[in-house]
Amino acid sequence: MKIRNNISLVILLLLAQGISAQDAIEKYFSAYANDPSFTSIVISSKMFELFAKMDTSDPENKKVKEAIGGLKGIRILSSETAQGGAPKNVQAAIAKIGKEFELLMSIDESNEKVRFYIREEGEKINELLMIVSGKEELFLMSLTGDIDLSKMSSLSKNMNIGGMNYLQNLDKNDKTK
Amino acid sequence: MDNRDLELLELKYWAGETTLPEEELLQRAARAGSEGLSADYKRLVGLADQSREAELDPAFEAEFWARVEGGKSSGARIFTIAHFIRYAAVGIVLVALGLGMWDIISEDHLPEGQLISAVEDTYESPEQAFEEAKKALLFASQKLNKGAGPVEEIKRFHTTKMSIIGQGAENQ
Amino acid sequence: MQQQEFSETIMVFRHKMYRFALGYLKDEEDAKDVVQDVMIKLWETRSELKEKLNLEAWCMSLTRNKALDRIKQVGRKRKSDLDEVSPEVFSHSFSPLRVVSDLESHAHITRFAAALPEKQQATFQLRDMEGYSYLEIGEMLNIDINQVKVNIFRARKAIRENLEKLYSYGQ
Repeated sequence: MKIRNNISLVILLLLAQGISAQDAIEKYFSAYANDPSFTSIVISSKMFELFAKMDTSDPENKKVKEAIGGLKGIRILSSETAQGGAPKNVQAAIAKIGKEFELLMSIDESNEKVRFYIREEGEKINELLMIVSGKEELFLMSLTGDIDLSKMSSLSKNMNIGGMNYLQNLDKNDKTK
Repeated sequence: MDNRDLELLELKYWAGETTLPEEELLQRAARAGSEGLSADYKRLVGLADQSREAELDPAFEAEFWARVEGGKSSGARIFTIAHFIRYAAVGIVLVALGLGMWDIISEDHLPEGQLISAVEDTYESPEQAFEEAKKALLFASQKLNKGAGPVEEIKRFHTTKMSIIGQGAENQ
Repeated sequence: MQQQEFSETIMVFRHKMYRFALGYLKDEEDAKDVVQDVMIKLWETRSELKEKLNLEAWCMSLTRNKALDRIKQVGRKRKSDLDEVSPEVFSHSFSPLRVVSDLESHAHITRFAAALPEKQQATFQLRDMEGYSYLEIGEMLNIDINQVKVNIFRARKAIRENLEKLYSYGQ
């Protein structure tokens, strides 16, 4: 089986087809990564490789490790939007999500809306994009790699951590620029 | 053919004006590493050459005749879009391209599953990064579960659109 | 036509057909299935093959059609899942996601927009990888020779731009 040749073919044809859809998300994250009004967090594939090697005696962490087994990257962008709405250029960037991304789920509540998008190849999901839009915040998270939705959803079912405060803590603590 | 001629011919190529013999000439020169040609063109030829190596396995023909003789009715051909085995590889390619962290096919070989990250990690220590990843994932997980029951039905291969409108929120 | 003749005149194209199918399906097993299916069809219609002026072009053309069918099948399956949810549900949203919700209906409609440059991709593959003439390519893709030229120009241009983009990351 000649994997390498298959990859070459794919690259070649992707080049012909244009890689613009993926570029758009990437550009979006890159563009705002250095913007002081955004909090940007990147966890790269190298980091994930290190995770795999980490010692985890903690049963909770073991579960997390298992859930993130196939992941290759996390990118987060978060911003407080005092005016209660994302800036226009953000909207424009979000508008670039299309084609390859398919809406998986949306949750609409009075104070926030959540959208999950996935990008699939065949039967595997290789990117999960989550957008949370609230009156005062906009949050994007991109998970890439081999995504297992059921593992992800069971993650919080088995744990009692107050992850719901994540957004607030995020913006306050982590303005790492 | 000197370098200047090759340069001109390459321009013709990008303009879509070359004939097959001219293209063969360009390809040979590219494989020989000629300096008259651009790096892009040489890479393209390299990729094309590699892609061309893909072939069916030797048993293919035998399997075909077996099927013919077996009578097509007998073997309801095993329908397998099943395991996209190579999607692991393809997924990696796509992910890499999407993340823009691509240090392509260096001299030889793309080690499967390995990406070279050109992006800066926010955290220096894996422990910190892990904690953050954990928090982020839990957050995502909880949101996913707001879709309550239906999440169970989100099997790997299906995409389901659901919307939950809660607490008398924005109705249309 | 007997097996021997079929083997010598048609089977010989299998690798090119396979690569061509691979270009559409990007999966080895799937591409192999497609070639098998096309071979079966060719075998079943072998008595008519004498009339084909360009057998190779015909084989490749069948391969393309089968591959496209295959892609559509998968797409149709997906679409039916989505159809169950009424689109009106998504039409409301406040500012940041207004744009997003407009896209929701796009999501599954344009899912195979990636197929739009199919002819460009295919032209490129047939010319720059397999070395077919423009005339042959026109037959295989069912387009005229001028369109082949346009496609090859566009495909190469796109590739060049994307190559530059990709490789510039290294610098």
